[in-house]
Amino acid sequence: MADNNNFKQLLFQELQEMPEAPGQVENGVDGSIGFISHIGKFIELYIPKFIDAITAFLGSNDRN
Amino acid sequence: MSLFRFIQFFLERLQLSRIETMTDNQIVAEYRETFDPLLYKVIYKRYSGKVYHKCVAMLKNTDEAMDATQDIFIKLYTKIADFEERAKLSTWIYRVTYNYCIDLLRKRKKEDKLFSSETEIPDDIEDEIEDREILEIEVKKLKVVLDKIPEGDKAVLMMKYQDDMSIKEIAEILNKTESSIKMKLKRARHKTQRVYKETFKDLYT
Repeated sequence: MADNNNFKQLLFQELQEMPEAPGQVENGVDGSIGFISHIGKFIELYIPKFIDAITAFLGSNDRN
Repeated sequence: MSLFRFIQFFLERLQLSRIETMTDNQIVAEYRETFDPLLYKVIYKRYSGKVYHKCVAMLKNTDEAMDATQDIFIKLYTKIADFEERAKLSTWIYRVTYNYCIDLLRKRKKEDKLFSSETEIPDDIEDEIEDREILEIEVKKLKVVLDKIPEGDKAVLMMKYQDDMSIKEIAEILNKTESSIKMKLKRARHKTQRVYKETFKDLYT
């Protein structure tokens, strides 16, 4: 198959007119990724402490 | 701009220019270790345009294409750690893109068939249309023709000729057998040629 056929040229021309997705898309992606990573950090930070608290509440002495 | 912000901005630019020289798979490998958001930003810069234009081509609506591109990049972010490095990142991204758009089109069409049905087979289906005949269509005319054929046929042609996917890869994406994909490609080529001749019939009279 040709390395640079008409289907690829079509995409190339479209990319020349607009090389990246519109700015709103990047803002939306950044916002969502920021939210997801904050949730991840929250879970990473507080879930072990929460489990420790539950364990302590149930009467275990194990505090490793 | 405070000195601290200036230094932060300078270091970020430095880091970005280093990442921009890396290959896709190197970026993914480093991302797995560091989860540095700048690495994902470079992946976004490299592929957002291609994904967006594919979404526009498939969905034929720029607003829907913008939403789809955003959803696709969020989906990719949550799955990038599972990406198998022996595959090509671009193929993986396009696979997610096509799957997303096809799902959306299936929901939109509901009972309608996304891919051309048996009744739409032209009489001369037995005649094989060479790749060359499709690939020789002028780019501007190709765009017109692609906008007139069913989205499913367009998707198969784009996967084959724009993204160089193998029959096996297309079959995996569409969850079909390889022989049915060969038939779909054959139908899509026939349809493309028929629409081309109908649309630009002045050239043939």
